[in-house]
Amino acid sequence: MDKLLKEFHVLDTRIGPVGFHGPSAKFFELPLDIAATVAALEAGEQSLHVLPLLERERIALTMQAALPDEIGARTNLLGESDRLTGFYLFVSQECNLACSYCYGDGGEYRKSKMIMDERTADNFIEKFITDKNPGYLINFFGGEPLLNLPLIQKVIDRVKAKTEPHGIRTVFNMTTNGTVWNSKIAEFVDKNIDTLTVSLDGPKDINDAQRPSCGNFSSYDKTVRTIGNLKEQGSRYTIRTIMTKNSFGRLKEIYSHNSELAGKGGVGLSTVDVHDKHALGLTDHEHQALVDEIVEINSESLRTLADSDKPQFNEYTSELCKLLFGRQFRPRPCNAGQTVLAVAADGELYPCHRFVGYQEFCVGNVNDEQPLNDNYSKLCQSFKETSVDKNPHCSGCWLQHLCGGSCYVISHLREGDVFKPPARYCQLKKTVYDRMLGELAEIMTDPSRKARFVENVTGYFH
Amino acid sequence: MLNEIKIDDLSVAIKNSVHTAMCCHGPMCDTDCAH
Repeated sequence: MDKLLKEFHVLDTRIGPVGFHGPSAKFFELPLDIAATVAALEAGEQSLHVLPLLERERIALTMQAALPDEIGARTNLLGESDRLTGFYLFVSQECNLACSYCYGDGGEYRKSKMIMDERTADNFIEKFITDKNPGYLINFFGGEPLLNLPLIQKVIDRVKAKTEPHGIRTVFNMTTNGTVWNSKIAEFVDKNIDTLTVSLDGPKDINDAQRPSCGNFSSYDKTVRTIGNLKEQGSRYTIRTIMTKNSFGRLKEIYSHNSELAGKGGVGLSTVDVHDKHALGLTDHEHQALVDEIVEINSESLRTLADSDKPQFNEYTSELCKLLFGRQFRPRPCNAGQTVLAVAADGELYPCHRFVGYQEFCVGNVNDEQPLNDNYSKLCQSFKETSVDKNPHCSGCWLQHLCGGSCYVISHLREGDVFKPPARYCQLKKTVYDRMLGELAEIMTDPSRKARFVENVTGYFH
Repeated sequence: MLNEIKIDDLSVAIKNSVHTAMCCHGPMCDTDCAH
């Protein structure tokens, strides 16, 4: 009984209390008395057992009767494959910027400056790109990957030569700071890169303060020029924005600034990942203020889907649509180590790009005869087995099926446990989803808003 | 009996969509990192 009630989360909406049931992703209008009991239980204020027996039975039967016998066929957002098909290639562990919050240690990743050589790239292609998979995704990463453009060109040519005769499609992406740019690179990107992720942290004063160059130039000026070029030539790109102490009180301005520059790919917002004493680290108060601004940005985005012919999708609206309208769930934070690996410049392999340089998570080396070591199977098995419903830190949470848990690396760095989400992560996710789910319930009870919403979502996911 | 607020099933359109997640590193979220 307690378990069933804890699967519900009470949303405070304009149409009254609404119960969101996590496992089935269904919404129910709740009578006030039941809503009060469920909310109190969720807040830990009241044990169900203090209620009279008849009252307990009435609530239990009401909630149980609302749910279908079978939760319904929701599919795994991350897929069921365990074949390695997504790779971050660290073609350059050097960078021409010196971002003060860089988790990659200026591109060196706790080692030293280096670029990937041809032998390492060839070994990667030989050992991991086969004719056995229907497709691959390769993300050129760094440091700044465009500092090693010749190798990128060779990798693309060789991967295509190996896969295209078999009808295998490879998606090539790149994450760049956008400051290494000329007409030749622009043409290369347009022809070969499916999606470019460009980093920009907002207006010039904020961006240049935290993303200074190693030379005598403004990273903002160069990046914005590159973005203009990408827009002009119709390339697909997204803008990645890091929120720091400098973003405090200015997030809407930053989001609006970058949205103006963004193409259809939109803007991705990430909270800075530094220790709390770092100059750009957020205090609890600043983090809470940023969360409030993130909620407002996402709430406005959601409303455009119901009230406008020009819907603005962003990270959370897009994810929410996939999860609820796409009948999907997220069983883990990501596919690190399952379908994805990162290949460092020296050939070392890690479950994803964020693990690079942390030796205890090294799972092999492409230059070894057997590229994957024992650590690989051990680590990846533990990721696979610890799905969100099996993770003791998450299994009691109403949001688990939408959230999937926190980034393994951030959990490891902050909590010393890859499976233990930091409190701030949970606070952000729960606050954003609480507001968005409530607004979504309101939209779904208004026939004209619902119709426009469905039309916009269908148009977006065409 | 509780009144369910129904949401549409758009799973076919969404599953077949070429559209991918906005994320810190492009459309890697579904296959990779969810920051």
